Amino acid sequence: MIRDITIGQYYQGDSLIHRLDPRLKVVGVFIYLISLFCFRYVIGFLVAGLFFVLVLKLSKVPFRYVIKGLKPILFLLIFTAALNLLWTPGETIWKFGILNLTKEGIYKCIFMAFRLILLIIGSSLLTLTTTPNQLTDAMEHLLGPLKRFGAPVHEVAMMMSIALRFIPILLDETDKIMKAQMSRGADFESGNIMQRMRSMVPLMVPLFISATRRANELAYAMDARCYNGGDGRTKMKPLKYHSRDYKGYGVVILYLAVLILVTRTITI
Amino acid sequence: MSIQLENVNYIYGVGSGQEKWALKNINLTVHDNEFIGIVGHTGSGKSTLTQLMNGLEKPSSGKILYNGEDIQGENFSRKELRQKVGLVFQYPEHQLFEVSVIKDVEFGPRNLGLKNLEIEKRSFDAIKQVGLSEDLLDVAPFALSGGQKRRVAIAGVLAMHPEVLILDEPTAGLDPAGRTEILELLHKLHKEKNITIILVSHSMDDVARYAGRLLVMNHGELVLDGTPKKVFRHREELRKIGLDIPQSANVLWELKERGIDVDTDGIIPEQAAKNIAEYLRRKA
Amino acid sequence: MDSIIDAKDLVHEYSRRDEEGNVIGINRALDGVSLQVKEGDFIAVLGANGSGKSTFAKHLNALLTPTEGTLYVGGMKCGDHSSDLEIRKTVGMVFQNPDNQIIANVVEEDVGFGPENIGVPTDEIWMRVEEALKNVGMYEYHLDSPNKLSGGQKQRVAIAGILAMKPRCIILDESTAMLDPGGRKAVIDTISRINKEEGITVILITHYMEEVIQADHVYVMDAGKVMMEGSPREIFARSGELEKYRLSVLEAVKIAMLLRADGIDLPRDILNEQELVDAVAELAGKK
Repeated sequence: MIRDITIGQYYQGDSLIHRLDPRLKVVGVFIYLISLFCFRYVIGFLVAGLFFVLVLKLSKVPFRYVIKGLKPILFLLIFTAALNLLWTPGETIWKFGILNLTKEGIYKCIFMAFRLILLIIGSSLLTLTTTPNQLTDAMEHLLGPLKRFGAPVHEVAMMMSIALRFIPILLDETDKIMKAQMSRGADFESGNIMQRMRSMVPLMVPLFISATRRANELAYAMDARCYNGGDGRTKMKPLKYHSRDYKGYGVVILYLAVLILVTRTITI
Repeated sequence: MSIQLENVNYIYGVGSGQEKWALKNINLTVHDNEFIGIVGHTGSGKSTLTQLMNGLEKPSSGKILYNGEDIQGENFSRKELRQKVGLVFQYPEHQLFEVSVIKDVEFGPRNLGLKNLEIEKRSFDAIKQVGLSEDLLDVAPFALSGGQKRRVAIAGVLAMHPEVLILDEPTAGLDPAGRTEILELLHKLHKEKNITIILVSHSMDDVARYAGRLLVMNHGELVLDGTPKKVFRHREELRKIGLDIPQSANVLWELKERGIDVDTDGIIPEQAAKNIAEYLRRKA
Repeated sequence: MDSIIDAKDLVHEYSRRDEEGNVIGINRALDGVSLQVKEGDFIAVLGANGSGKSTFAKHLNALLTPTEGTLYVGGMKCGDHSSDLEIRKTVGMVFQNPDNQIIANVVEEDVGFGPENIGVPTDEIWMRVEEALKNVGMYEYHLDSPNKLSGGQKQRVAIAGILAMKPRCIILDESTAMLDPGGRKAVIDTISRINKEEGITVILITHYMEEVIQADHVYVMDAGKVMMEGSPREIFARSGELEKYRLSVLEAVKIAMLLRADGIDLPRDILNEQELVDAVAELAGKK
């Protein structure tokens, strides 16, 4: 169950998209996400959707992998869709109590759902094709200017990278401790909210202790390998733009231009 | 008491396109008061097998019967099953969470909904059984040594009065004396309390000494099942799947290969020494 | 003199504190440890849990500071923190839990972590990473996530991570304790080959007797002190003492002891199965 989460998971591959500079990918996704809010007509989804499919094909990531990322937010998706569907004021089609199905509602519901889906699968494509380390490297670079104001950019990037590495380990551990306590008769599933909160103690305490122990040992291990902050560090994989990356920026700008052009001219 | 597994399969990741068979067609009966050793590589399905036996995991297909009752049946209480089939996980000290040793041990019995007096009595007895001193009752578990913590965790399961006790590598990470202490404890529980013990282990020497029956797992299949002496006669077969035989048995076999006509039926040092001595005397 | 490690009367004390932070007692984890390690040697430190062996190891890497006594590593004095980085470049350390020492999310990036920290130029990092991973037999996994590897494989990646920093000495601080027999054997084989082929000093901290057979010299610790020292052969012959320190001997050695007790004339210093078989074969006239 908790192992199904694919956000932040890397799909190993050697496609063109995998090889692109992570900075381009971060900027590209950022622009893509903004672009999703730049149009008011359905035709926009066609353009945005086509662009997504193009990048997906190039990345060679199987579609079902991307879809898996939607599972955890399915509830949110249905909830917002229902909210939009039944509470949007406008031309009424069907009415029951406070529920009010309107033409605008249907329109808005579809709009929101598509937008949210593209938002999630668009950004999960970034994490699926970029290793967490590349990702944090890109963040470190892009946020680099903030260093001048004393922001601990390197440290934050390092923390993010380590956090990502330990997520699967801690999920596994949660599973194990849960099973161990269930073997001792613990019940995590029934009872009212207070009882459930209390039943979490035998899970959370060992988990917290374990995380602390791991952090401690990791700190030792980093010390032993001469880690001393960002100063004087060299890079194994320094970020360097290749010609394909410049072309990539071109493609992103082209996409944005086409999107704006199309949504301005075709209004369906 | 008996646990019966009938054609049990367990498949990971059903529907993901990356199914992995963790267990393949397991048929096996655990009888009353046995001491069973389970050996096999990491990932051979040992852990999954133990979790199926106490109902933490559900078989993908096949049946598991406890005293003849299907444990996946509608009227079967899996909570009760978990009390009767106690499972001690690997590194069980990682599950301790209470402020004192006694409170942690009481967690299990308390979940059973027993009366306070009974809870206290059971917990106290369990702590004595695992050989911890009474002085430690109110000490925080985290202040104890590794070996002591592990006993607290085992006591926590014992206090639920299980009929079967399954332990997943209970000696992992302990020093030689600590390992012997835990194994002797299991031996005592088996002999004196008639608890059925199922011991998952990587040490052939340990299962040779303590187990009355040995199961060998490989790639999710149960490949050998019999007394340790019988199982360890399959030296070549075990070697093929990358498992050793006990050092004592190995010494006897190597002697035999040198043309020394020693009785190879020995799997612990005492037996091996006896067989070698007998041979040398016969020769002299 | 050519000793890479030189400890003299090393003492380390932990203070135990109550909930308010007041010192309620002092634990002496190390109590006057003196030993020298010759460069290029394979040293084993045996000891039960809580014997102080791990505390000792952490001093060699400047992770802990001695309370009393002196410690020189590669000629540098430990304790004043001025040469910590140099000491850690000289002496690399592999820890117990394979999961808690791998920092990166890709095997090759983790091996590159140490060289990055000490400012090795990019091209050379790549060369070192490839060489180190090939050396421990893990190169085919260089693009994998560490989470997919077994414990023994993770420990070999950790060893590669140290090798890539080109140290003169590697310490394995109970690095085999959490592994299965196959993983343990792979790690020990790897490290003893590195010791022989590259001449890197190895200090192996463990409580598994079978791992110390290949060592040049063994120290046995108990209660923070060095209680026994000698070649593996000398140490194994003193099984009674070993048991006193919560250790044990291999089954083959046990068989030899039982046979000797039974009046059979076997040598006192049998080390492993092979030697036992040879000795019995000789008695039987089947050499």
